[in-house]
Amino acid sequence: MSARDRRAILIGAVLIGLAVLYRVALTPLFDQWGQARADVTAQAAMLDQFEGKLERRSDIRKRLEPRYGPGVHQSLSTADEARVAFPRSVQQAIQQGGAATKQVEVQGLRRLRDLPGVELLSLRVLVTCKPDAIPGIFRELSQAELPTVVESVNLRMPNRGQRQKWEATLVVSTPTLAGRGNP
Amino acid sequence: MPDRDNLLLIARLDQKMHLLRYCAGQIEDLQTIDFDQNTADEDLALLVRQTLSEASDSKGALPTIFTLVGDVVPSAEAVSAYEKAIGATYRRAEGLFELNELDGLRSDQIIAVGAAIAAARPEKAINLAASDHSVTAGINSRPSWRHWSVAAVVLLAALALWYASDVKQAQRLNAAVEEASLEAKDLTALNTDLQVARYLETAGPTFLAILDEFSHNTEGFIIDEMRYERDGQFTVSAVSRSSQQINRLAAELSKMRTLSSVQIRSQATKDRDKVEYKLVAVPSKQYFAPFAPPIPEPEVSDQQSASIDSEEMGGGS
Repeated sequence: MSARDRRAILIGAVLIGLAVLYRVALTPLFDQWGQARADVTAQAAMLDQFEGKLERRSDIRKRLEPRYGPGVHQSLSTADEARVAFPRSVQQAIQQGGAATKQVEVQGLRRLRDLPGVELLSLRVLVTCKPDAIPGIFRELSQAELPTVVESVNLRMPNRGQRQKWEATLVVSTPTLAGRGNP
Repeated sequence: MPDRDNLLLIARLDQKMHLLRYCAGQIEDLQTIDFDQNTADEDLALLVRQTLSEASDSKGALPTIFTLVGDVVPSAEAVSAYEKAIGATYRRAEGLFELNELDGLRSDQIIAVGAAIAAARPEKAINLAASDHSVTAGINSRPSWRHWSVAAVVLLAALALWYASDVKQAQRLNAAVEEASLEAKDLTALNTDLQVARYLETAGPTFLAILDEFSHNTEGFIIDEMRYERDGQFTVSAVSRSSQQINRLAAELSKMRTLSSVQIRSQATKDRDKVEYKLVAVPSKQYFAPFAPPIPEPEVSDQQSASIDSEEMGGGS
């Protein structure tokens, strides 16, 4: 066997060794590395997206707080939780507004067309009050524990002769998470 | 390095044997021995030994390492015989040339080495004696194993740095994600929060905003009934003394920023001085503030002021 033959065999062996090394060790390593890089990109994108959305949510909530109270800073409650907390929150606000609640009736859940993950829990509330207390009621409702959307209001004098006694029928609602604790 | 300091190159071709001694970085001498084709390896080894001994008397120590090149591949027996006779260690020629850094020699020495190698291994040194310049250029343009090694190490170092950078970045991001306790469901919940916030933000004016502006704009009017539907209409029902007063109320409502499309739905004379009426309007979709800011009072003439004072007065809603 000549020196050239031996050299050729050596080079071939080295190449085969390199190929085996590439297949056995380097390929999995590169795959792992590639996966790690893809994960890094995905995580970074998710973090960026999350940070952007957190900032937007914070901005919107700051704008909403004067209209719907500090409750806008909390995440949505389930329907079961809201069935307990929302009537209490509304009655408390009405009481703080200087009116008396005659009747509170849970009207049920209503799906929103554009918000598939959200349902509105509605209450029908009958209130009696003096006319000067009416703005106070709605001011307190706008600062209630749970964000309260006034869907409809019917304000009237039951007896035209008694101008200091007004009756208000309110339908108010609050958003809840859909599909959790629904009957 | 003994390899560099004391090397003997034995180049065998046909019936000649060239002995090239390379000592302490210099070519010591180049000798040629003629021999018979049938001479045994042991005899050739002794002949080499004798030639070297004669030369070493005047030119220094015997070589410590030697190599054989030529038209015949040396057998193990031949190598053993040379080792025994010369008292040096055999090394294969491959790699020995680079090891001894022949490119550090002077051009005349390179030509001498080239002549010896060319005689034995033409494919090894065919261009060595062409010219000084081309010899130097030819030797320098071919990267040595050391250069390849350095390049490989640099490449590996770059790859390692890249890998380490990625790993560090991944660790940093993982820590950030863990710290924020982020999961896919969190992103879903955040999206829901945003949707709800947008829904609340675009839900039109609140009843409080309408009531606030209404009470500022309609001071002096007495209202019997007021209806508000967020996605529907805003209705005011009352009894007035005259149609003129109803028109004025409608005009006031038209100025409101929380209402639009104000119109008198009905008015009917109930008694001689009583007109029952109903006004309807639509909550404005463009007004989103919690309260209506005060509108600057328009300058009212004395005549208009007197007319308002004469209307039916009361504690507006």
